[in-house]
Parts: sequence; C-alpha cells; structure tokens
Amino acid sequence: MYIGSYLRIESWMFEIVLYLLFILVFWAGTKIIGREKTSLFLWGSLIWTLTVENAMVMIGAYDYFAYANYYCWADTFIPGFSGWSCMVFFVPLSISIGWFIFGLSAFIISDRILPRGNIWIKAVVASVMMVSLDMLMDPISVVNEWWRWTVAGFYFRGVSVGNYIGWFFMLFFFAGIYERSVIEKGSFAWLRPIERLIFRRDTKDLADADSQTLKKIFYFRAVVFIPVMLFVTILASQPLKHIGFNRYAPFNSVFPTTYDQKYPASAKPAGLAPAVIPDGDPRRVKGPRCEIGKGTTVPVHPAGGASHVQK
Amino acid sequence: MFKSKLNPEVTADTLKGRLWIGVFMLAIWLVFLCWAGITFPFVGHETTRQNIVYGVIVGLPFLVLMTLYMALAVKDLKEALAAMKAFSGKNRK
Repeated sequence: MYIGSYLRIESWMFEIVLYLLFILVFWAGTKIIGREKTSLFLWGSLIWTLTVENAMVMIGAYDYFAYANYYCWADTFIPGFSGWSCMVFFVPLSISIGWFIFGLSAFIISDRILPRGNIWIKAVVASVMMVSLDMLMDPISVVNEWWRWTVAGFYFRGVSVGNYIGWFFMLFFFAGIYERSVIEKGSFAWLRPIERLIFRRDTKDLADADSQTLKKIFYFRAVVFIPVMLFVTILASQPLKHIGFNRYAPFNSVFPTTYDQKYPASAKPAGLAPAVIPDGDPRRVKGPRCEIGKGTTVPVHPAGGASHVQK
Repeated sequence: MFKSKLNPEVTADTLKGRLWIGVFMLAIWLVFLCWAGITFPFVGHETTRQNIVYGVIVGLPFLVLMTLYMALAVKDLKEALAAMKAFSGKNRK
C-alpha cells in the first residue's frame, strides 16, 4: 500500500467491503423477498454479469490485469497474482458479487418507491440509481487501477461513458426479466414459442410452475436477453461516436482485438492523449508495485492519479 | 400497511430488512465518498476536494431516491409497529 500525500486503495480493500456487504445484503434480501427469490437473483446476476464481463474483456473493452506481475503484499512481490482473490476466467468474482449487491438493493428500493408502477419504469428508476452510484465508484477504480480501460472512446473522469450506458441497460433488462419471470410469473410474448419447444409447456402463466422449472426458465431468459441488452447498449452508445472520441485507451488490450486494429496508437490524431503511457513518463511504473511504496518511480504528487493513469 | 408484489406477506421483519438495505446502500456510498476524499485526484482533477464535490453531484439522483425510500421505509415500519401494538393491546383486554 502506498501512503504518501494520497492513499492508494488496493483491490483487496475493495473486495473486503464487497464481500462484507454481500453477507449483509443477502441477509436483508432473504428477509424482504425470501431466501429462494434472493438466491435466484444472485445466481441470475452471476450468470448475467460473468458472461457479459468476460465477453467485454475478450473483445478488449477493459481488463482486470493491471496488478498482474507487479502485485505486492507487505512489500513482497507476488509473481503473477492479479490482485483479486478469485477470478472466473478473466473477471474477478467480487465484481459480479458487487453487481448483485447494487442490483438487488436498487431493485428493492425502486419497488418500494413505485409499488404499482410498470416493471420497465421501475427498472429505469433502479438503473438510474445504480449508474449514479457507479459514477462515483468507477473514477476511484481507475485511479487505483482496480481495472483499466483498453478501448478508444468518449471518456469522462477517466471512465468510458459507454460503461455507464452499459450499466444502465444491464440492470434495466435484468430487473425487467427478474420481475416478469420470478415475481409476476409471466412471460415475454416473443419468447413463448421458443420456450414451448424447450420446456414443453406454455410459459404464459408460470404461477403453477414448480421452483425448478421457474429457475430454468428464468436462467434461460437471462441468457437469451444478453445479446438483446448488448445490442441496445451498442445502439444507445452510437451518439457518442458523433460527439467524437476524446481519448485513446490508456492501455493496449491483452487480447488481439478489432479495436487495436481500428485505432492503433500510430493513428492517433494530434492533441489526444496517447494510447499508452510512453517510456520515460514518470507515471509509468516498471516492476513490482512495492517499488512504488519505496518512492522509486512515483512523483511526490502523482498528477491525475495512480502510476498508470493518464491525466 | 404497505404491501408489495415482491413479498405479499409483510411482517415487521420484512420492513426492518427494507430499512437495513437502505442503510447498507447509504453506508457503501459514504465509503466511496470517503475513498474519493483520501485517494488520488480523479483523472482531470487537481485535488481530492474536487473528487468529493464530483461525488456529491453525480450522486444526487442516488441521494434523492434514497431519501425518499428511507422516509417510506421508516413510515411503513412505524405504521406496522403501531398496528402490532394496538393489536396486542386489544388482545390483552
């Protein structure tokens, strides 16, 4: 941990807070909607977020490898450790747990504020709430390198604005699917013919369905809606392209991506931030992070944030 | 008493859970705001004070919704407790 003029908040601190809060929110969730429905929300959100997040990492939007190969614990270098206690493929489990915490809370809160509201209006309220919280969390994550952006785009306070659009639609669709399937025990008209083939029953009214069938149908809908959500997010992000990209990604993706081919560092227009921090920049740290604590390569007042982050 | 589609069987325990979830969300927001105040200045900021001002501004929708929710949760719980008290009083008579 680097304690100088500023405190570096390490990923393990973030994880401790998330896991602690997970226990508390799960406990409160079981009191409010019952253990079974809370578990369904948990497993559904794990499927939902881990799929989307892994896909995003693989297409090169961002990654969680900022700490890899230079993570230190008590001034001892831990080779290869990514800084996260548990990874599910390329994504820390705590990230999905965090999404569950915020998602379930926002869902319950929006239901109380609009008890008789339309499910999609409630989903909008929950999503606005979640994005508002994320707009504080994400800039903290960027300067502390919990994750890093590897894609060119329109950035605000170091965070791709497309990220907020993504967060909005992730909860919007998930809350809608959850409420329609698990709470209302209803269906989506366009999915019914496919569901009839797969589950061999009419899924219009699931009031008589046993819990196993309900689970399967809910998970199925969550998976089917992932491409729908991604498509809507991409569509909603299009205006950002017209505003214009104000920044090239601070890092190159570890995956060979279309983004890298489309926006190579050499194609960078003058006046934009560089795609990677150049050699010789004092904010570029070589070697383990414990070197940072010894003050070897970090300036006295790290301008604009942590070692890898551009101003 | 407020009844929700999420759980039609509303008890004092359910309402306490609702209150707690609001408390947890406010607590995590405060943790983030504290972190924003002590960590590095955000990209484009010069000081951590700017981080805090930014955090409060972007957190306004969250805070407005949370205030509304907490007021409703407290009201529900008070009503439920009053109803339970009246019910137990009647039974004693």
